[in-house]
Amino acid sequence: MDMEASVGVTSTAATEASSVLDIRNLKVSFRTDEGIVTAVDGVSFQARKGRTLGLVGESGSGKSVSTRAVTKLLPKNAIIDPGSAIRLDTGNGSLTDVAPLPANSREIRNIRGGAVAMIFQEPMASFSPVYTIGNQIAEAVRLHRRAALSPLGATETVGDQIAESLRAQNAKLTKQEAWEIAIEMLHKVGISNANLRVDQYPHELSGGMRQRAMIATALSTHPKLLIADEPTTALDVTIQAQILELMGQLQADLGMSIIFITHDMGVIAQVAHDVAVMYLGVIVERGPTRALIEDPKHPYTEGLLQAIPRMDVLSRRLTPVPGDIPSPLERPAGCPFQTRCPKRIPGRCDRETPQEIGLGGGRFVSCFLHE
Amino acid sequence: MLRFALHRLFGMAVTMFCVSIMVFTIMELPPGDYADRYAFRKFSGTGVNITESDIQNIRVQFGLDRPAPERYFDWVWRIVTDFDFGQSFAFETSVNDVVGERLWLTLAILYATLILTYLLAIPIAIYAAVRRHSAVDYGLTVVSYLGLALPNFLLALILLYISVSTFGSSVGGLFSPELEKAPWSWEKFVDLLQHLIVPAIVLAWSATALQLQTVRATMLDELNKLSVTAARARGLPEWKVLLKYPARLAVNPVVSTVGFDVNRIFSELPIVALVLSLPELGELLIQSYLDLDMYVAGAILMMLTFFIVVMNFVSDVALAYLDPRIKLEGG
Repeated sequence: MDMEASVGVTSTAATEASSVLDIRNLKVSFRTDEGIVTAVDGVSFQARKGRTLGLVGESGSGKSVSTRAVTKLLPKNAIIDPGSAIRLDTGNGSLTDVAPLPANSREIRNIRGGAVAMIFQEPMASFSPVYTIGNQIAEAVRLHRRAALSPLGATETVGDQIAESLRAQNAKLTKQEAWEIAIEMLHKVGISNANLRVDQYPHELSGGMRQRAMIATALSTHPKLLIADEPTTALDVTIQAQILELMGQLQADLGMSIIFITHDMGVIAQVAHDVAVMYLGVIVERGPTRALIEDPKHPYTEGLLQAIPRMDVLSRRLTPVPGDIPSPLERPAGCPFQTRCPKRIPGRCDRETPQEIGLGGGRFVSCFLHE
Repeated sequence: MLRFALHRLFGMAVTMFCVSIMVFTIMELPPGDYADRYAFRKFSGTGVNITESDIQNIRVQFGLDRPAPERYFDWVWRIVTDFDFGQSFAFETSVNDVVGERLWLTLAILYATLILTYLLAIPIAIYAAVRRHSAVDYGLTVVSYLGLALPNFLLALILLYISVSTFGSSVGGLFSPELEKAPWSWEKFVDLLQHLIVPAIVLAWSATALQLQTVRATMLDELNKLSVTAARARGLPEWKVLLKYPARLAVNPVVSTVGFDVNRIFSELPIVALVLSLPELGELLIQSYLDLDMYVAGAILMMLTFFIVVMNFVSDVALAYLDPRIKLEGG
């Protein structure tokens, strides 16, 4: 009995620990001149240690907003609904709700670049043109990395050890040490001549190299979670493949969790372990990547998959999802996708909002077709 | 960087050469010459009859009979080798003596104005951009339009009235009467600074209004850049983000237009100087035109353009230092 109980505790603890980020019922709206606009309407998802979650959806579906809410990098007119929970592993292994923390608080600043690092779509614009690459990497390093402990042998008494560990906790790295780490990180992301590149300005690097440097910046602080907001969209296909491979490698090395935001189902199939498909501020379907791609349950997911070109079926014409995503100002009544849905049930989909249904195997869908 | 500076320095020399030709042409333009004026002033009303040959003699005496190119090269050569700007006919002494102290006082007014402009415009504009749509921001817009619309001689009169009636300082000038002829001392320097405040405010008024809008607009642009979000995402405290990233770039347009500001200050200076009775070069320039005292006019024009060209050089080099993207193109 005791044994069983303890095993039970350990296993819950294990699943708890494997979640780095657990978002429940996240709602984000914006105060605008036209009134309150809801960009994210009750979204729940988890990011697990060592795994990649793909967030897919068209522009304006709320992918970026829901992830930026984690680090509170939202415009000033954004409101996170008090009912939302953003439980994040801030470094001590347990999850704390960061939703109520104000954006300018010290806690949030420690999370930014510390527990949660971000990379963005445009590698050129994500670096400031007037500082060297090294300067901008070292900045992140000095903000979040602390001096390592001296080897135990170096300290003689327990008092010394305590003093030493206090020093280590508070001591910022010197500029020189941070610079060394910057070079090491550039080397790690596969930039040759890292010790020369570190002194260069962003405009002296190619697009792929800049994105590598951006990844180096993000990972220089050993984050638990990396949010990659369309990191390969602005790159050409061969560079894109290299960057994706690099991210996979680094994930295996460092064991961090990745949230990969994209509108490209093809990329998702390559990198993500789990997928969440977003449409107009809600997750319409989520589950393990392979199962979801092989057997999509939601009509929107089906539509997205039919819009990818495939090498093995060259004769088939690509079918786009008809129509445009509605403006968040004019959210349709009922299911958000009903205005474009080929399988719409008249009288039902335009009246009631579908709830998320568990299909087993970690799969969830919000659609009346699967009740 | 050194090559870039040398490149610009060479460009500066070429500019100064072209300017010197233009200035000399301007000096030659007015109808009649100094010999006519001299003869008229010296002998009118004395009953002496002046013949053409008398005037010719005066020309020879002043060296005005030689062909223009010869006089030009002579003039330029003496400026370059001896820093000698020739003779002032009206004052019957060397131009250097006439210009003398006025040059330094003009520079004092110029730098006081520039420093005041940038000290006000840059921080206020950055603050207004960060607190967009706040009371400060709207207030700034109103003040800016006032600054652009209000003629500065009017402002000069108002400030003069206030400074005399409220603070009891002496009217106009750059020194208190009792210190005017005194040798330089700490006391005189402080007195100069106090007298510089009003002309600096008057002259800085419109330049500040313009630069406020420039810096605010650039700052607003820069604030929306992804690199700023990326810096925030690294966990940098907000004030450091603002100073290190957008503010640093918002200063660039100011640095690149220092030359324009110098130009504007010089062209506004004579009117303001007249109202505030400041002993500076602009007023002397107008007087020398009226007297056809062309070497004084030429010297002043050369000096003013020289400062504009120098400030342009300084702003180019400073900008190249501030923005690493420029060096590649500058060569």
